[in-house]
Amino acid sequence: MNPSALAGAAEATVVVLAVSGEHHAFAELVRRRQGMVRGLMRRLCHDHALADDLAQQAFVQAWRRIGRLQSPQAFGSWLRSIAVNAWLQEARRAPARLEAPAADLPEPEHYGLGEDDLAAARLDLNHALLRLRASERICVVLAYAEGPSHREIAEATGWPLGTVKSNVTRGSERLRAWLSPQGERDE
Amino acid sequence: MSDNLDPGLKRLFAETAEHPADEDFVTAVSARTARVYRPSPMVRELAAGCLTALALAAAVGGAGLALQQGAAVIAPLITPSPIGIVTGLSLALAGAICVRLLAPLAFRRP
Repeated sequence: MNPSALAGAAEATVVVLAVSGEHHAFAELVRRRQGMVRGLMRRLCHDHALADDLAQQAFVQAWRRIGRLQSPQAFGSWLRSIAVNAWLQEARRAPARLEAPAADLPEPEHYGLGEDDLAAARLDLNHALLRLRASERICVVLAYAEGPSHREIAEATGWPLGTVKSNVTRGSERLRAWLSPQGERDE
Repeated sequence: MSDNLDPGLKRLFAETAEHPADEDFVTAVSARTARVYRPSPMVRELAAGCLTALALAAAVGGAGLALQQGAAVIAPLITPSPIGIVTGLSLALAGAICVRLLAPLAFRRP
């Protein structure tokens, strides 16, 4: 199938072609899913270059393992698990790369979203996320940004459901406290 | 989804979501995946077939060894006949064909 025909094909079809070793089909999957993977990594890392590098690593892993994908319909959640594991591996291997020094993180200003300043709100949220522990950060980002259930997060991270729930709860509380106006902050 | 999530944070995440997309990223990933060797499904099936053949050879070798050890006991009980030899060889051939045809199915993904 040529690249232009792939652009209009159903994802399951493209996945089947990628499983059979078609490079063009896999490139089409990268084209379609890069927003999800890169968006996730940008929430989790403090700089975009590192986020994109981890996103690339996740796609390379996906290419290596796609032959083992059980169902083409599960490609999205399967890819998310690979991305989560790529980030967790990096967090274990070189945790300092994923953190920004606390002194470099400015005070948040925009919890109440102004329609005109989404970029500032995004920056506040991303800086606040960097203050969470890695395990809390990944659980909070997956729960709020990606939308899977706690059970699906437990499957993606390989952690017990109770650990995921407490990470989401604790992380949300800390995030809310950090993003609230100065007077309401606990810390 | 029944998980309790803070509506304010949920809205904040939704409104500040980023979905970066550009062709440079696709090109960079393609360059990296092009360097990754991935055996084709045919090669994987052949490898699976070879593994099956090796396992069978080991099993048959073991059985042959056992038979050899027991030959002294069995030999007096067997009367050689050309029909028996032809039947035995035919059965062995049919078995080999079955194994060759069924091995890829056994290793095929669901």
